[in-house]
Amino acid sequence: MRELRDPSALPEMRSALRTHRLGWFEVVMLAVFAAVYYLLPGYLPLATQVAIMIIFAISLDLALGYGGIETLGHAVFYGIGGYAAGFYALYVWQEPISGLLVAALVAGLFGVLSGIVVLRAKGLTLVMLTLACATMVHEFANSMRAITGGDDGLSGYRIDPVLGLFRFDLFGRTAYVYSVCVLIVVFLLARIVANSNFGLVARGIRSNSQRMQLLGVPVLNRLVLLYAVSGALAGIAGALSAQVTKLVGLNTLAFTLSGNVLIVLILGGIGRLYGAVIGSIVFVALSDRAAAIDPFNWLFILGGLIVLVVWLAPDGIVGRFSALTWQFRKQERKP
Amino acid sequence: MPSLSTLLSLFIDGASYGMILFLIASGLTVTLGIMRIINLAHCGFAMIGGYAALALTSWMGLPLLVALPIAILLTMAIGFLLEQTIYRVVYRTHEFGQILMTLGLTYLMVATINLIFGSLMQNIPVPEPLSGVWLAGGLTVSKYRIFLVAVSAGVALLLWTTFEWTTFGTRLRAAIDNPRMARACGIDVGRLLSIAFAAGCGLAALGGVLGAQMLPLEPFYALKYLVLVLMVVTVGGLGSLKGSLLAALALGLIDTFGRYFLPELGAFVIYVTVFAFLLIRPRGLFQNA
Amino acid sequence: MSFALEIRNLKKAFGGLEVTRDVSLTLAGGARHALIGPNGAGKSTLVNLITGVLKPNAGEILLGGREIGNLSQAERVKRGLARTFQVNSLFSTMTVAENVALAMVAHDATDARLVGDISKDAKLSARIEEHLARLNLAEAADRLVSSLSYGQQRIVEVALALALQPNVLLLDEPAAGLAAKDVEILLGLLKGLPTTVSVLIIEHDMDLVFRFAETITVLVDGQVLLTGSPDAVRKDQRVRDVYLGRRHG
Repeated sequence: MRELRDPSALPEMRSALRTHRLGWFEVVMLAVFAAVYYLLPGYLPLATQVAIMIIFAISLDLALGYGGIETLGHAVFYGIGGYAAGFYALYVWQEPISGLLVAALVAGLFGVLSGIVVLRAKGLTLVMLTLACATMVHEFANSMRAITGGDDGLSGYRIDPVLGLFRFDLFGRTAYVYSVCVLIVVFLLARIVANSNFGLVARGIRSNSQRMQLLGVPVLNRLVLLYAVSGALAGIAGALSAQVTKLVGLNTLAFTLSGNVLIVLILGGIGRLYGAVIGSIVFVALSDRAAAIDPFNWLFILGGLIVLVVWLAPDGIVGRFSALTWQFRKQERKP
Repeated sequence: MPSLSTLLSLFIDGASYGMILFLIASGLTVTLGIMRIINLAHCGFAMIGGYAALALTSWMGLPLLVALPIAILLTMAIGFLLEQTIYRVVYRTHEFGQILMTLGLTYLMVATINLIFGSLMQNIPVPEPLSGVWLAGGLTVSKYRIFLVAVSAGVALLLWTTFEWTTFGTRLRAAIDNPRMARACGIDVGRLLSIAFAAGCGLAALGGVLGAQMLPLEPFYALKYLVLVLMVVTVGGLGSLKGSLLAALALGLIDTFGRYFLPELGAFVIYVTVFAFLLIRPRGLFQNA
Repeated sequence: MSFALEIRNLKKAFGGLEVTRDVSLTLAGGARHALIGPNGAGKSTLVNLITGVLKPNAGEILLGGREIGNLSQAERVKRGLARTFQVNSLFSTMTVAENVALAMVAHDATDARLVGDISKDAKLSARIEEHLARLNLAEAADRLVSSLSYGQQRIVEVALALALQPNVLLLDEPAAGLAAKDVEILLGLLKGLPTTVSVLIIEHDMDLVFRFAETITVLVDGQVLLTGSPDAVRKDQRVRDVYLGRRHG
């Protein structure tokens, strides 16, 4: 010990800076993903959807949960990533991993460009601008029927085996393992960003952007960077979906998707990365179950669930839980 | 270059479309102005009104003009009930909770309508005296469209008078301008909001019924036209009825002309316009809120 | 040798109203300088001019001998001029340690660093701990600022400004609204500030001012009435007149 004071009496810097720690949650999740592969082979396509949704929700969590960028148009990155991956496979190369990188690059670039114009606004105007931006791209894709396939979607491309070894099979085994691997990489990447100086500054901007500016940090600049990183990750989610389903539909750009990913994040809880995981599992599993029971009326369950969750647990499922564990930890430290 | 008569009928189409958007958006802009919540379910009330009129006309055989006021009252009642219950919670939560709760509510509306009426697109038949066209000097104008413009212009005028010339309107304007100050002046902002909310639902219902020709009824109505209505409100400036009217007319006209002259771009034109506009004037046409 | 902060013939008028008329002021390195004056003397305007909220109509502001009159607020911070705010403007949803870390990261210009876990940055952690310990905030490191008492929040405000490692620190009414015992704590902390920092304090609490400052400038009607030691100011008849409300001719 560097100093002689009782180390347990003072808060640890790690918890005082509230960085994201790897722990039992990640271990359990890995075990669950592995168990699904072996025990529930029939559910692999659904589990793949969950993995993709988690990636998408993580990307939103960076923008919204960390930087406080209030967006109702995050699907724009998902869709752009999807179309980028689709075109890339159709016209350039069918190799999947480079496809993901290209999609991330295109979506990230769009994040920079749209961010520069959109992020100057705040509050309601920002919400509306992100919505207008996404709708604009949606309509653009719709009107470019000859290239995008319009309502029918973009299809007819092949994807090469992953790493030249694992061919995409009919049962979705490769798709699943591939998606989970991408998810792990994205989770770790997002975690690095969240725990970095930049991640702290993003939280600072969310908390008090004016003071951040007065501390000498170029806030708009940093927000654009965050938006681009978030957009790139969302683009990866869209690209992954394009590669495993071999289809990019207009719905990847739609308002409902932007709404759904928000729901996922609020279900789980924002600003802590875990929320994206829990929220996605609950959301995808629930919409699948509800749709299976009653394909026409599943919106009842979804709608009711959203209302209830915001009502009873405004910080999300994880929020409820971590509030409890945080108290517990504090009590442990000061008995 | 298209003929003058084409331009004129395009203009009437665009204007009537814009007026419908205004009717639907007017209630939203007022509640938004007071409460600063984004009520994503607002378009759902237009849908409820439309379906109520549909049920009254096609199931019970009532003429449209009788069904219309009943449908409006019914929607207002539903709106009032929701405002007294679920929206009380909505007001209390954080900004994103509000967006989500009203989105969830919209989903519930969609599901309910779907359960009762099915997922097919439906039309409310135009009553006999209003169907058909007028022919005037080589000009063909749909009677119904003229009727629409006339009715909505009347409603807009009524709204304007209420807003500018009655105590209720003065209080409403005060509440939009500064809710806290209004409260301090003894204005019961909560009650005002409830009334404005119900009235807004009624207006939306009117728009939903009359506009069913242009915005056909379907369960996803509440989501499909939501973006457009939100844009009217934002472009107009929150809380500004005048702004919403101008914005709705402009959007209706630009969209109609855009689709005619640049059909391959479809709705793209209108969204680019709105986006560009919001960049230049982020707080909309009238920034009185 | 140049002063830490030098103000030369500063003037500011709002329309026809001259709020600052020809103010000159110098702070040597390590100065403990106070600016006092009755309400409406133009203290707030002067603070706003120095920090860059307002632009002067005429005159110069030199920081370490370099003109800063045309720089933005943020740029002045980067040059070593930090301030506290009258109204708390902290990152209230974040912990005390995070608040200080933000200022340090901003000062180091490492705020765009995307990699490297901030809590594993041993150097930064040690700096934060040391900084908080010096201000008696170590215990509160992991507490949310919003959960602190008002007095503690004022001290975090000072901590944030100090974390920017300023050459000149401007304290804008740091004791406003504080209870007597919190003022004592604040005074203790201010007395312990390193001499590398020159301090300009604007304060209504005369007790605090006279116990802390080595030099006092009295501002009246936008002009410097006098600058001198606490004793000289205390004895000056004109100062008494001003504070007792008699018109100063």
